[in-house]
Amino acid sequence: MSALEVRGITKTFRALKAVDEVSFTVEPGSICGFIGPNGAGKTTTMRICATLDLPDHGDVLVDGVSVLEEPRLARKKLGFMPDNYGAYPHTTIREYLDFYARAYGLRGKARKRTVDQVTSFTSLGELQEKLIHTLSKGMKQRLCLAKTMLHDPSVLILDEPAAGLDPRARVELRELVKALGSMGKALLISSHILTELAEMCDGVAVIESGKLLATGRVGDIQKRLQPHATIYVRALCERAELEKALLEEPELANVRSERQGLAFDYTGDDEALARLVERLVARGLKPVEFAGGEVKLEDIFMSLTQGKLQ
Amino acid sequence: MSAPAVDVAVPEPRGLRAWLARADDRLNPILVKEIRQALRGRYFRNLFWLTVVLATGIGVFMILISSVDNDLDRLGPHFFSATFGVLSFAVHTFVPFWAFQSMGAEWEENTFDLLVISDLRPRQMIVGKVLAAATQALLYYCAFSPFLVSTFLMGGVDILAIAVILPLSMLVSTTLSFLAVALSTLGKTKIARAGLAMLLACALLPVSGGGIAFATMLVEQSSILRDHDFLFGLAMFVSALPIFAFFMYSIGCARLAHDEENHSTALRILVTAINLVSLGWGIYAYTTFSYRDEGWLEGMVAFGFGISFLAYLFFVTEPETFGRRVAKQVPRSSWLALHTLPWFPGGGRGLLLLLANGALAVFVTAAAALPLGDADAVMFVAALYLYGAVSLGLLSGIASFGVRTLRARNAVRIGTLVLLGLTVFLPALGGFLFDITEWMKFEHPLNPFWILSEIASGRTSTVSKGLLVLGAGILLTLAANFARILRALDETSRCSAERREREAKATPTDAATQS
Repeated sequence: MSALEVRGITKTFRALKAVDEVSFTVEPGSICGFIGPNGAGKTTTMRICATLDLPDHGDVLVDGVSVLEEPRLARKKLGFMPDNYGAYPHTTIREYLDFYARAYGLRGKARKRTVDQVTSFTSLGELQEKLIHTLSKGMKQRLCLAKTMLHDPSVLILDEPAAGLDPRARVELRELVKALGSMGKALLISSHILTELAEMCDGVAVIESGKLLATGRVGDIQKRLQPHATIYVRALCERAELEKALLEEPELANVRSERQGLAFDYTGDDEALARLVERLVARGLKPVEFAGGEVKLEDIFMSLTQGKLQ
Repeated sequence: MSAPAVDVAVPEPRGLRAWLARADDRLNPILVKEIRQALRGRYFRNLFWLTVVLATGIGVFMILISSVDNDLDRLGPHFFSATFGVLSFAVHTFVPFWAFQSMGAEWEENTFDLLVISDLRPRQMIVGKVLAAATQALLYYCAFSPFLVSTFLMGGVDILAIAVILPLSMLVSTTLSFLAVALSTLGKTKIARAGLAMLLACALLPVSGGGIAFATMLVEQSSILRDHDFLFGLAMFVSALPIFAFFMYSIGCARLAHDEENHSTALRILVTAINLVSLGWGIYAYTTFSYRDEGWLEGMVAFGFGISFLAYLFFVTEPETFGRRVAKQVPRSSWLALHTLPWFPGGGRGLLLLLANGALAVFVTAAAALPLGDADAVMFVAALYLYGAVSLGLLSGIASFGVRTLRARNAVRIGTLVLLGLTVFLPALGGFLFDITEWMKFEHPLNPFWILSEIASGRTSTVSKGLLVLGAGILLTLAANFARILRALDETSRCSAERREREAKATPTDAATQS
């Protein structure tokens, strides 16, 4: 069973179809990036998943529980960090977390232990007595993440968690997210910072104008978009000699000059690629650089989306 | 969580400490949060000290004035009125207004979403806010008690009056906090909130002033506390406060609940309770005191209906079909489902609730009044509810054929009120145009208020045209609502059957045993 299953949700605001038949799943222990241009429907989808908005059609299952029919039960299983959230300025970190721990029904020692655990996990332990209005943006993000984890949800939905963070805070947040993924939690994260997402996500869902354009692992989407890989090779020989050798190979096309070597489109698998290297070495071409083209989330994003505004 | 717990061996608390720890665990989380915030915030601290200093200043001033005027015999009542005046503004205006702001701050500071997705129920949010307000009020009472009780020692103030005024004031303050929190849930935009704040201020300031006047009257004429009629009025007032508070609580809960939740049943039960309580007080006064000729029974029923009117308007304009969650709450027994149908959400069911409450009121009134030969009381109650059914059911019934969106439903709600106003005022305007004196005085067959007052006065012969209009209105209302009432009946019985089917599937052995 998927940890999060979005089933054909549609949401209309007056004449605007903010979300249109969106369906995807997030498996336990995986981190799914939710990307799309501004106004694509990311936040609306996430708010529906978090029981805060109602879809016109469709449903969302959190660990098999419908957010429409059993919203209270679904809330016990999910943690949501909205993009624009507030915190009570005149409370300390400890009081804030204690309040939400009480709200989640934690009592006595269990409450104290849980608050200690989440503050320790988010490295807020030493700041517990600080008033919230004195915290930096990064610290507030950590606090909200700590609050989101209090009831140990199996699904975490984070809407733009890295927005407005400095580079150090981003790296720290990324590590926290990875740690949560390794704990077996399913995470759905939206962000505009695609390099950040690429480093921590197992898969992505791309949305534009309310429609889901693609979903799956980054590599799989790349394959669907572009069935061949781009390989770069440089050898200690004449470029023409290398080109001649490559052109004799099957599953290889569009050989072209690039920097000091050659690039080509390749449709074979990794085994065939290893044999190609062996053959080049056997022919005495001495390859010194041999690199597969990196799959970039930006490329996927740019090839899928058209920058439509709603 | 992967992070190791910071586990320090803490000895188990015992005795009182253990009890306190358990009590602390059971405290409403919102109450804890609000008290923590209020004690650190400037609003409560500044106002608290300001009122205490003001009360002390006034006290000293009163003593000085009294000693100069050589009027120390009257010092007690004057001192009490002045001090209670400050307290009344604190607990009847500042504290409820704080509750209003506190609820609104959840939207203004973007914290509401986080509350919703936590395990807090709407009722915990509302009660937590009101309890926090009540705790603040209690702090004011604690600070002012020495001043107020000292007036008894100064002489001229009955301790019984103080014993009545303070708890009553506390009850009023708590009720006003419920009103403030409920009002606060009605608007989330800044403009709406500003309007609501002004509305609340308009309600709170007269109550504070009225509280001072009432307390002064009670202190200066404490013998009134032994007057039967006064005690009867006081008892009615005290019984009305919790009902009003619960009414506000239900509105607040409905506003904060998930869209798929049942927003209506608690309010519907409450409206029935209001009907029963007003009937109960009316019949008590009617049969016990010499109030029969003063129309107390009719007055109480009309009062109960009047304060429920807007709730009925909300009920008859609700979406006709059940939400996915409510559909599952319909009783499995078809008999029970059909008999509790008026208390489930839906416009058609709302009209049935109005008719059911009307039938109950007519039946109880008839049981009390007919043996005493007072048929007019029964006629009044019947006409009152029939007018209610027409004014609330006609437009909403017609709209039920096409209205689907919230915006359109709100338009129907406003349209119903406007239509009621037009039926009263337009003929009066026509009276001016066509020089019809009675119509100018609002004595025309379309004015339900005039017709009801004529019935209550026993002048039924003058209103025959009005009753004819009412009859025509009833026929039109029935025609407009027939289809949605049938749909409501059908949906209720279908949901009940579906529940039986669902439960039979879930427990096949149980179903086999039943069959």
